[in-house]
Amino acid sequence: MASTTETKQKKMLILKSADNDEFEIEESVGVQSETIKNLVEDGFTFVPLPNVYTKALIKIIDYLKKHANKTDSNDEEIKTFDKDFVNTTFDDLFELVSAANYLHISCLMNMLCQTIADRIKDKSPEAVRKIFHINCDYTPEEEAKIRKANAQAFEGQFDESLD
Amino acid sequence: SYCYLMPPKGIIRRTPRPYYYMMHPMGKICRTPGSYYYMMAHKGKICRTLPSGISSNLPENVIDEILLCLPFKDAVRTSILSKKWRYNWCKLPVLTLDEPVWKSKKGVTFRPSKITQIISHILILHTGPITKFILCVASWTSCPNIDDLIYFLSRNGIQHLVLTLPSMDNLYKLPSSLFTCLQLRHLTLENCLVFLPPDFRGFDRLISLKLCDVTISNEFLESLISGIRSICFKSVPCMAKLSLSHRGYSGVPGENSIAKFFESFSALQHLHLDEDSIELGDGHDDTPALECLEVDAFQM
Repeated sequence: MASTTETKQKKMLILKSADNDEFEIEESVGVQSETIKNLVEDGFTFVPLPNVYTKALIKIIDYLKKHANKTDSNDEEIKTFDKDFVNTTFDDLFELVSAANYLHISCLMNMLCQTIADRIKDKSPEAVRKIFHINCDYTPEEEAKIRKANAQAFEGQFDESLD
Repeated sequence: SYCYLMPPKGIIRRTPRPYYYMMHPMGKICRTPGSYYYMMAHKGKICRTLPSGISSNLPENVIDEILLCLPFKDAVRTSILSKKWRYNWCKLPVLTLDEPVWKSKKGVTFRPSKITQIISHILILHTGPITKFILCVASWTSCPNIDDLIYFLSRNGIQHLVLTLPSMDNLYKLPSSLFTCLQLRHLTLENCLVFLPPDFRGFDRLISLKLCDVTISNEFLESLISGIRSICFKSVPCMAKLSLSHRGYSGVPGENSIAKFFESFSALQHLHLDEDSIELGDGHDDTPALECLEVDAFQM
């Protein structure tokens, strides 16, 4: 880590989660989020995030800190970190992806969407419904009609697991 | 709670970003760069859903992103999840119709006419632009009719087109609507015939071209190689990557013709030539930006 900035006062930001917890982070870490960057450019140092809950915010701050220190030499370390980061439940992934979307952190968005896609791939519609907490509002007749219209996509055996 | 306000007078909008304004409980006004999708999905209210409900309430653009990461068949299957999900897969701007799409789970491959029928079905349901389209039917013995597909793509903003067609005696002749895809930035053609319409003035935005087993009409080839006259790939000023391989480039008239051809690519950085079919003359160092030259099985 470069020590040249230590003598200088680091610019800090305060992020406030939806459950009113406040987190102080370095500006250089925060501005990886387009949403925060725009606010910083407008002179804000206090950033309320009414859509991001504490649990997700803690993880996202971790992610931003890790990625702010990206160099050529710690590439492997970051890869391991990312792999660990997405190794969580679907509900956590959904909360994180919503937060990343709100904060406009595109690299995190891409990683989370790819993870979710990889994990729901080859699963049965019933399993995907449970994972996404979707209530099916089709009648059995309507459902049969849609299956028939795209028959080639629905043939074969699918994975019923929910993890 | 939060409420929305009109932008206070006197604030200069530097860029037309979709800000929305909210009143903080402490009485401060702050502006937050709003997500269009977020606003649409929640009808302009700040949504304070509990985390447990969040997954059934993902913003539309997030759902689109997830669908884009799925194989095509998996994306289509999401139509059965609920009414809200039914047509989500129909608006994806990137479609990859590769070999697994044309095979049933039992390993049966569809006939070309069935493939044409499925493509029509997809296009009828599609809404919005298609910026990237990949079609791979390389292992078939005859080619499905894709004229309508290319016509459709030409009117829907195609920027990246990959056509991998079957290798057969009568190569598929691409329709002239290909030459109206003027937004094209990346073009990959494999196993097809290209006849150039006389009024074609080039793909202005093309930056990468890959041709493999493509037979181009003699007139087209001559004009292409000699780099004269006004047509086609001559006028691709930002071309950065070019790959030519196998048949269709033999019988090039004139020794230095290929070199002359390359003169017109001032931005070319990557050149790949394959299978002793092109005689390279002197002077290909006229392409100042060329960084990588790959030559396979080549006679100089």
